[in-house]
Amino acid sequence: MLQRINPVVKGISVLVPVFLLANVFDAGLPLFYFAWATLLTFLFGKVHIKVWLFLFAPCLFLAAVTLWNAVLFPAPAEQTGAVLWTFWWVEVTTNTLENGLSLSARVLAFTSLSLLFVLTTKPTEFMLSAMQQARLPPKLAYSILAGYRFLPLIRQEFRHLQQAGRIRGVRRARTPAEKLKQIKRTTVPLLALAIRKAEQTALSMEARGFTGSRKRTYYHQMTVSYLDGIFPVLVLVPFLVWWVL
Amino acid sequence: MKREICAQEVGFSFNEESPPLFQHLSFTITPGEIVLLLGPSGVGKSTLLRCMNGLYPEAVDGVRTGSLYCFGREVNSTPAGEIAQSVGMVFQNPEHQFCMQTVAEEVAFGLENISFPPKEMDVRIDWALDLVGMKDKKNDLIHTLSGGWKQRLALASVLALKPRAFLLDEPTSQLDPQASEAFVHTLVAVQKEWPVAIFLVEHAYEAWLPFVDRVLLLSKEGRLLASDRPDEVFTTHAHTMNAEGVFLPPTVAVALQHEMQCIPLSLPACAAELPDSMFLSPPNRVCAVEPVLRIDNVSYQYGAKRVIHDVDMALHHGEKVAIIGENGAGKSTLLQILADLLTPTAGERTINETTYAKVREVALREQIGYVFQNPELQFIEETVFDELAFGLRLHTSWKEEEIRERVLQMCRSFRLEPLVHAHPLSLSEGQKRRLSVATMMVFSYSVLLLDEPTFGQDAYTTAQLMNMFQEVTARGTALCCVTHDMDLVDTHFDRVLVLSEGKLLFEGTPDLLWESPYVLAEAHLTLPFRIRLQQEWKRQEEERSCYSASTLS
Repeated sequence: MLQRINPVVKGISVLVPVFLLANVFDAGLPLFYFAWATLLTFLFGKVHIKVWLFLFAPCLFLAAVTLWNAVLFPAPAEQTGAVLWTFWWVEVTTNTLENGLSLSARVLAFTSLSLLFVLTTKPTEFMLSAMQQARLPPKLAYSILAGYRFLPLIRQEFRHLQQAGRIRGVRRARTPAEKLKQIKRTTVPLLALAIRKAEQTALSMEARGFTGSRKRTYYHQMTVSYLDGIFPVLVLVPFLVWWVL
Repeated sequence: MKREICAQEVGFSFNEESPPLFQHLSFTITPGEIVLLLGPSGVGKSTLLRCMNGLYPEAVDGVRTGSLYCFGREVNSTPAGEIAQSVGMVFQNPEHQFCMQTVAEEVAFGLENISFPPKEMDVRIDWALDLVGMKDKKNDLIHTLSGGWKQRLALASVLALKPRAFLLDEPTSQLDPQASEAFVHTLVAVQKEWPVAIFLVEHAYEAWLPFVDRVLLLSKEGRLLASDRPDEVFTTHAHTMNAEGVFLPPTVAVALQHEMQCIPLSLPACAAELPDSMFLSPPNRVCAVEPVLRIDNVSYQYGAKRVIHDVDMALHHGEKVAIIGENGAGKSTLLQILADLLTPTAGERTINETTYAKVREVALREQIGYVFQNPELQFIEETVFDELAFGLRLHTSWKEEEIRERVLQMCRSFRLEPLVHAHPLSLSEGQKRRLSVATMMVFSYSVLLLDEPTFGQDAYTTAQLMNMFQEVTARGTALCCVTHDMDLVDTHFDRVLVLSEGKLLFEGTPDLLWESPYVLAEAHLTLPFRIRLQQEWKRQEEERSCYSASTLS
């Protein structure tokens, strides 16, 4: 069902709570959002739990690091409130703990909201809807679509670069100068090849009458339906509940 | 004039000051015609093509002179959408022509650009896909298609706009022989349904030649030398073309070599002109016996798929071995296993009688060299000099003086001398290719592995590479090369391995392979030109003797 919602409507609906949450200094609401967005993803999104976990894991780690940082290295001004416990030189106060919890809860909420969008939206449909509903210039939208096609090619080229390095016996970079050189050695050829790809693709698009003008028709017409009215409300439920309470 | 493409006194230069690339070109192309544009490399054949649908001079800020009318309208003053509906273009690289995910979306892209009514799109898309024979692939993802299908898709997405002319910029140069032939036949079939004018630039145009109506020949100075039927052009200009490095079809090359009176274009005509099949004896082949590298019962599994299946093989000092087979037969995988870039899931690999597992990485790299298909990805240093010196500095304890001498000597023999201080990425395609092989030759490896080194290269670069390979093997290196080019296998290799679905189907001399019809059919291989000519000559000889026997009796 989430797949059928207009991508632009979906994107905006997800962005609104992100902005709202950025102004909430409390761990409860973001955690509620995290649970809610995850629930929506699995109830209506037909998302594989493995894929979701794979993408979620690094963000969970980020949330843990955020909590750790905020609790152990707070700004002195924020180190107020009752002291909960002390070990060595670290004093954990109620305030720092609250701070840490709210920050990491926010990370979790943002992650689950982004995953809800990313895992249920096809890039092509998002771009088409961005052009049709949000008036994104076709020149930009089709450049992004063409670029998206290059990603697997670039990944393959990167693998060949690494293999070539092994063949020639390039040693692992140790000093900063060596590292800089290694970065240069990988980026310069990849960029050179990318520019050539881009040039050729651009010519091929132009040769088929692409000018970047908005005057064009669409094979896939992206529409806005009643579902697109319900979804934004559904996403805002936790906020409304919190506000009423 | 409304029914044709008409060029009058056309010239082009990349900016106001630079000398013109070509000038004073006048010609016409009518619907239903296939016209082949030939000329030395660097004379601006692709540029002329790009002028004809208005991509140039705009895209490069160049200057185009003269007048160029496509179906009654000057190209430079026609809006892009309208040109696209009269002249379509297919480019060289099958990977770099698409911007959408699926086949149908890609064909629709052109229609969207010209504001074609969405409701009628499906009918038009089906029509175009049907003509190129890929209607059943309508909803396939583009990245899952092979190169040959991608080029046909490129053709379909142009065809959907119902243009009256096709400009083809080396459309088959990045395809293997079977896929090239299929593409040519598709296009000829399309032309029967939809009579377009076809203007073609192609380096290796042998497959096209039977269908070409006219050849336009450009001179080195960018002037039009000839515009005539192919046989006329080759009869008059074959020697000039040969001197200027233009690829000649094999029949013409044979005719020049044997100083035939008239220049034949077809195989039967060439065989009829040939005085004696003695001319067609196989080249000398090295029979090497001292093994360097061996693999026994090697298999490689990728996921659930078995890519390599129980392969045994050996490479010997001083021999040139070709690995051939269809796309997806496992050729590149086998080469990567030999190079230890992949570890086989089963089997034993030994080099100089030591198993790979016991050889240290550094020591292994001193013994095995590897040339990738894409030279750009294997350059390490920032100048040609350092690039060549890299291996010497790493693997030898030579003094800088000695290294310098060796590198300069290499530069001389590879004709890279004026470019010692240039950045490797700034070289031309042929130069990059030569440099990538040269870096693997400064240092004497025991084994040199190459992944399709001649793919997409012109005849001149290919010939140079073959000379280089001869030099390496003369010094005792074992050379092993993945290739699609049967003529190359026939003329330059000592031994050949045929892979089919991951299994070793054949191992032996090329001459033995040409006499194994079962293997050729199983691996979908074609015979090289020399053998086809020989067979044709024998057939004619038999006919002649039958004829004389019957007249005698």
